[in-house]
Amino acid sequence: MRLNGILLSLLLVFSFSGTGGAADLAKAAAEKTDETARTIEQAEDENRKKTQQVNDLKLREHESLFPEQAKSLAKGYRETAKMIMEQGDDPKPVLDAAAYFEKQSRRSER
Amino acid sequence: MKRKLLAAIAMLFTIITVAPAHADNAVKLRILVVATGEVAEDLGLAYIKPVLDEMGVPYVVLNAGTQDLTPAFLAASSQGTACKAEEAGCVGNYNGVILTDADLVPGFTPAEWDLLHNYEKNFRVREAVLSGWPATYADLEPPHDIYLDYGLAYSSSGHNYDVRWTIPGRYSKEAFEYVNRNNPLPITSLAFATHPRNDMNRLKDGSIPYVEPLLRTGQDEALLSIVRYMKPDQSAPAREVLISTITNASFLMHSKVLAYEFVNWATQGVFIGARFIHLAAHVDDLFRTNNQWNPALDKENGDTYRLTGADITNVVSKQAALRAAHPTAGNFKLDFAFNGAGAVVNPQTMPLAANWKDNLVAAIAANKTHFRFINHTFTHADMDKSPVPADAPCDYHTFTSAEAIRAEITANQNVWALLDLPERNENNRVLITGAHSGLKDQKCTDDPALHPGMFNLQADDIAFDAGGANPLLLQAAATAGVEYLAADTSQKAQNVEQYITQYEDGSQTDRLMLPRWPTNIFYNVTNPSQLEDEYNYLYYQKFINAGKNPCEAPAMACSPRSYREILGIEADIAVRHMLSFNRWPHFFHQSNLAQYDKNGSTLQFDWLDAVFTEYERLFSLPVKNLPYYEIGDHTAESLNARSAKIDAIWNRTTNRVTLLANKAVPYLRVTGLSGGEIYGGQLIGNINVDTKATTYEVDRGLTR
Ligand SMILES: [Zn+2]
Repeated sequence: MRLNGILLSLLLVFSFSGTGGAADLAKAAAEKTDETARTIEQAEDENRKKTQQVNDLKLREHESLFPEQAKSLAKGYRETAKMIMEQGDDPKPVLDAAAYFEKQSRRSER
Repeated sequence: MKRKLLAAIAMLFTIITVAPAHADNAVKLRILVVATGEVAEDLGLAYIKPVLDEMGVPYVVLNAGTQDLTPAFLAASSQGTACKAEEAGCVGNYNGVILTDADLVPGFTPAEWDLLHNYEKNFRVREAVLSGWPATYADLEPPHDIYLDYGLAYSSSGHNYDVRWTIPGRYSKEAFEYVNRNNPLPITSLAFATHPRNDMNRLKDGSIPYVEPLLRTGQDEALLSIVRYMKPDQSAPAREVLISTITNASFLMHSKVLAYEFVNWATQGVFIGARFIHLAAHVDDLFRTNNQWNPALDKENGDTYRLTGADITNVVSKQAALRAAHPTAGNFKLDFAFNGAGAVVNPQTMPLAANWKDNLVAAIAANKTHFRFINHTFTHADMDKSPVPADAPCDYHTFTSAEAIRAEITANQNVWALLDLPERNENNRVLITGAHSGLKDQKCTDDPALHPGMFNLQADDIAFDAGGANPLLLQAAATAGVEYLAADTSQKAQNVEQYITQYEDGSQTDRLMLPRWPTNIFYNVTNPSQLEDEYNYLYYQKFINAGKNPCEAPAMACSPRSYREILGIEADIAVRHMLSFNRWPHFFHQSNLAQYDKNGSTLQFDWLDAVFTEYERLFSLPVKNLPYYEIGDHTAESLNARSAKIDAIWNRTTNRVTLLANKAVPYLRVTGLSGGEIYGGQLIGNINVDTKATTYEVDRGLTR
């Protein structure tokens, strides 16, 4: 809501300064306001994502099975790593994933 | 021109050789879920199972860790032997396959992959992969044939991607038709980002995976793609797979957004079951006063708030503004759960008389068509069990007879009539008790002020499933004709749609429990600063005061939060509830409708606006806002459908589905058959199915 308001006022600034002879100036100003709007939007997106992560974590703490599931997932990725090596490929991303879920499993168990 | 003709002839030839005239080429409407373990071990199974259950989609789980896939498991003749689609009477057991993991290592052998892929090709059944490593695996023995290949090359890993929708035109009516494709989707769990290889490497069956990404990162990497396995001599893909390399789980927002398409894609949009998005806001305690939180004291101090007539006219215009601002809100209406004792001249004097001099009562009556109403009992009396012995100290008054409780229900029905509020008959079947009382036993501890030594007054409660409900309430509800009883999802064993069978209520039928979501818009606040203070007291300061670390307690805040942050968190949670497809309302209190500034802002509409804004960033589906009695009716229909065994067979030659059940199912939700309502570009029918087979034409809605 607030974001739309800001964008709208920025657009109005642009349309007023865009009339008359100072076209270049207006263009520069418009580019700048575009940039500002983008920055604001990015900040809003970041906030939204942070909120989402707070709730992801909160809900995960309620999942009593998660530590066990994360452990199984890590185990599965270790098996996948073996398979990838047999196939002659690089298992690193999958080993990293295994380590990531092992850590998540331990963190959730506390 | 010539080439096209030849291709067409070749295609015709293929069709003729693969599908002889007598073959039915039929599949059951049922999903095969191949999992790596039980729910306790498989995050993906724990994620998709509740989605299938809520939607009412039949499925079978194969645990790849302990079970072998066999040909007869996939398709069997009437004699039970394995068969092919082209054989007369052969029916494929599944019209869709979901894999909880992309490579199913080590449970699935190359031979099992071949079996599964051959089934998918033979019966033209799609596959959806929920998560995992985008594998390419070849037989270890020469000639090293490739038996598994998603056509993807690993690019990067991360747990913080902002991805955008890039759905190709050919799938615009088919895949993720319900999402808002204009906004990025934040991915907050571990994901493998990939690049489509789109090279000429063939699998052992001669097919080449052709990848089209649907979700891309800023670096143009793919996180979710459709893979079509093309053979040089065929224009139609031999197989089609939707693969996500994002970790999915029930507690992740992006997983909630993606969930439906895994089911919809796998089944080609033809399945038993359906999903709708619901939102209802119940405003409890209309005509009562609510105690108020005092930020200076960090407790209630005897102040109260009761809505005014001016508040109600404000609410009417705010509700209209909400509808205008949010295209998915449709004709959204608030539901008032009211206590008639506050709307009559004297609650003790019979016959009751409406208090028209009260400007709240007058404003509600004048604006009644803008709202819906629900019986919240006459005085909001506590319905919990009486203490034993009867004269033991108790924080609240209790009833000792079902008749007295029934009088609380019927007196409020009388006020309904006095005020001439709409839909009285429909609502006689519904009841919300004061504070959901009577469904658990509080053991007489309710008022924190009377028990300074108790950190948590609910610690001694006896839950609904432990015998804590009051049989007198259930008897009273039964004799008053109440079918649906509201419950609080935050209470143990009350977060389930269930018939109350374990208590004797003296009737032939059982009450149906309808859960409602609480929020952190507390009953005792009218404005942001009050809410902010109470929120931070409950989730932060209370722990500090007790010498505890709130950061270490589940669901507490590590630092105080602003109103804006609280609203963001609450909206995000509410959207997750909506994306779980259940019909459960959120409940609030009349205090939350007080105007707190000169613009007529209210906590209730701040919440609603935040929820719709967040929802519309992700989804474009219209939101259903049903009266509570209809929520009850639909819940009863779903429970009945889920308890039935439904046989559905999709004959691809006639393109019709035959439906049969082991009992009468008057309202079976089915997606992808002609008739019914259009929702998200698909047809959703409500079909009467019984022990006699009926057939319906398939309509996948691909032109809508
Ligand atoms: Zn209440």
